[in-house]
Amino acid sequence: MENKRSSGLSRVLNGFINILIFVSILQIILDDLSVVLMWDQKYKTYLFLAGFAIDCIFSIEFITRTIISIKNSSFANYFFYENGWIDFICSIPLLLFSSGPSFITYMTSGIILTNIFSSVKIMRIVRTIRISRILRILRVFKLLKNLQNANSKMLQNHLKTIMIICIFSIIISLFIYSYIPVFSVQNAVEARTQTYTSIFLAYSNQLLLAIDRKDNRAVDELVKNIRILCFADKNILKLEIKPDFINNNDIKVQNSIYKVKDYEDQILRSHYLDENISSFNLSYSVQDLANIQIGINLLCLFAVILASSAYILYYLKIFVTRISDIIYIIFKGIKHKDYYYQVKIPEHYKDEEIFEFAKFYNNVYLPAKKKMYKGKEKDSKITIDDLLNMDI
Amino acid sequence: MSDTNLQRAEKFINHLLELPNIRIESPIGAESQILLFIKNNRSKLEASFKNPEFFPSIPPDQAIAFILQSLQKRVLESCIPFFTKIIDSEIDFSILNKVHKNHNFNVEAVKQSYRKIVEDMLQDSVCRVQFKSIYYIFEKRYIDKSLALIFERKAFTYNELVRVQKCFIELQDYISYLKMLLLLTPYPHLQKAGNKTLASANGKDEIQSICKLATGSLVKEIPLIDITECKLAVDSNLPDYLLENWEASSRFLFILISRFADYEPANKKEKGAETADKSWYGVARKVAQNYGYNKGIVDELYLIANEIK
Repeated sequence: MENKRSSGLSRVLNGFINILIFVSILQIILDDLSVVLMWDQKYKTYLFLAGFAIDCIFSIEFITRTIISIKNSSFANYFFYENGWIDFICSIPLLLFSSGPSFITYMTSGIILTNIFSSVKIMRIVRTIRISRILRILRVFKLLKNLQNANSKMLQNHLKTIMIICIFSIIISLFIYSYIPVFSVQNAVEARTQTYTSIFLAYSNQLLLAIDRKDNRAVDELVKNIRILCFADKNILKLEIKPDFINNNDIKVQNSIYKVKDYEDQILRSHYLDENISSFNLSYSVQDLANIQIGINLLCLFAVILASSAYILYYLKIFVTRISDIIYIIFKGIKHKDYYYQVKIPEHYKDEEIFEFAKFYNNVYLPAKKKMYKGKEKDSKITIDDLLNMDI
Repeated sequence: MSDTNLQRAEKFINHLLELPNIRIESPIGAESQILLFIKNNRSKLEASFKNPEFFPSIPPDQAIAFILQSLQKRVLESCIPFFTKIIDSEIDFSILNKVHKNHNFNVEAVKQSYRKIVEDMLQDSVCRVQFKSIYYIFEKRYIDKSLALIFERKAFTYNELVRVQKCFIELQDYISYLKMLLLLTPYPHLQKAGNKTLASANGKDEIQSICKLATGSLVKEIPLIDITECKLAVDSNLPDYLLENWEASSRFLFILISRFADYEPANKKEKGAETADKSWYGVARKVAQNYGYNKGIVDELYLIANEIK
C-alpha cells in the first residue's frame, strides 16, 4: 500500500519535472525575447522570477536525488550513468552564479540584471554561466524514455551522446566567441562611452568658457546645439548639467537638457549606463549592443532546439528501424524456440553490417533452428499458474 | 455425483478456454494446447485434482477422462457446424463435372457423403488435430486469396497446377476444387479397426503404403468422387519427393497445411520484421528439402506473401 502510494507520488513528481523541463526552455526564450522586444517591466520581472524558481526546483530535485542515491550507496551510478551530472550542471551552477545573484540584486535594489554588461569580474563569469542555460535542454533526455519507439536503452544512450556533443559544441563556440576581443560587445560599450566622454568633455569646456565670458547668448546657443545632438542620437536617454555647477555660477542655465520619457520603465537597468562627464550627467542606452548579444544567444538556443528536435524526430526513427528493432528481433529469435520472424532488410541499406548480420540470421540461423526443432513439440501456452485462483 | 464432476470438468475447460492465450485460438488449436498442457503437467494436475475444489471424490485418471470428454464436446460443438457450413455454402461440388467431363456427379450425394466423412474425421481425436491447419486456411480464406494471385501471375505454381496436373479449369473452380481436396487431407490419420495411421508410420515406404491404403479406403467411403481426387487429397500429407510429378495440388496443399500448422493467431506485425507469412515462407525456402516442400511453389508463395491479405 505504502509502495503504491509512493510510486503514485513519484509518477506525479516525474510528470511535474517533465512539464517543468519544457517550461524552463520556454522561459529562456521568452526571457531573451522580452529584452529584445522591450516588453513591459512587469513581464520581465515575472520571467526573471520564474527562471529563479525553476533553478531552485531543479536544484532541490538534484539534491533530493543525490541524498537518496547516497542512502542507497549508488551515488556514482546516479551521477555518472543516470544523468546525475546533467541534473547537476542544469541546476546548482545556474542557481549559484546566474539566477541566484540576480535575485539577490533584485531583492535589495529592485533591479533586474541580465549580466551582459558589467565591469565587475565576477559578472563576466556570470555572463558565461548565463550562456550555459542552454544546458537545460539536456534535460530533454529524461523525456526520451516517454517517447514511442524510444524504450531502448541503447537508443537513449546513443541519442544522449550525440545531443551532448552537439549542445556542448555550440556552447563552447559561444564561450569562445564572447571572449574574442574583436567580437566583444563589452569593447563596443567601452568605445561608446569613450566617444560620449570626448564629445561632452568638449561641450563642457565650451560651456565653461561661455560662462566665464558671461556670454548668455553663447550659453543658450550651446545648450541648444547639445539638445539637437541629443535628439539626433537615439542612444542618449538623459542629459543634465550638474546642480553644483549651476549653483556656483551667475549665469542661469536649465538643469535638464534632454530626457527620454519613462526610459527607466522601458529599458532594463543593466542596459543603460550613467556617466559623469565634467559638468554633465549623461545616461545613454546600450540596448542595441545588448540585442546583438541576446540575438547570438537566441540563435544558439534555437540551433540547439532545432538539432535536438531533429535528432529526436528524425534520427530516433532511423536508429529504431535500422538498429534497435533489428537487434530486438534477432534476440527474440535466438531466445524463443517458436519465434521465426525474419528481419526486414531494406534494399538501400542491405550492405550495412547490421543487415549483413540480419541476412545471416534470416538465411542461416532460422533455417538451422527450424531443422533442429523438426518434429519436436511446441511449448504449451498454458502454464500451471493459470490454474491459480480457479474456482470450479 | 458424476454429473457434478462432469460439470466441474466443464467449468475447468471453460476456464482454460477463456485464458487470453487460448481464447484467440481456433477450437482445434485450443484443444491441442489443452491436451499438450495436460500431457506436460499430468503429475501436477493429478495431485491438484485431489484437492476439495477440484475432483476429490474420483481418481485423477477419471477426472482427466471427464475433462477430455468435456473438451471434445466443446470442440465438436463449434467445429462440426463450421465445416458443415463450408461444405454447404463455400464449395461448389459441381466443378467435378468440369474436371471429369465424361462423368456425371450427383452433387447433393457428394455433399452428403462429405458431411459424413468430415464428421467422422472430426470425431477421431488424432484425426481432428489435423483439422487445425484446415480450420485456419478456411477461416483466412487463404486458398481464395493465394490462388487468385497465382492465377494472376501465371508463373511456376500456376503452370504446375494447371498444365502439369492437366486440370484446365477457371480460378473460382480451382478454388472450390482445392477446398474439396483440403477437407479430405486428414483421412490417412483416421483410426479404423486394424489399420495403421500416418501418425504411427515409420519410414517413407510405410508412409507411402499407408497413403495408398488410405486412398483405396477413401474411394470406398466416397464412391461418388473420382480416385484422382482421393489420391490428391490423401497425398497432400506426403513430401514433395514422394509425390508423382502430376500431383501439383498435393504439393501446394502440403505447403499450406504445414504453414498453418505453425500459424499463431496471437502473432502480430513486428516492427522491423517481415510479416509472419513472409517469414514462414522465407525460412521454408531454406529448409524445403528437409521438410519436403516444393521449392518452386514455396519461392512463389514467398514472393506473394505480403499481397495475401
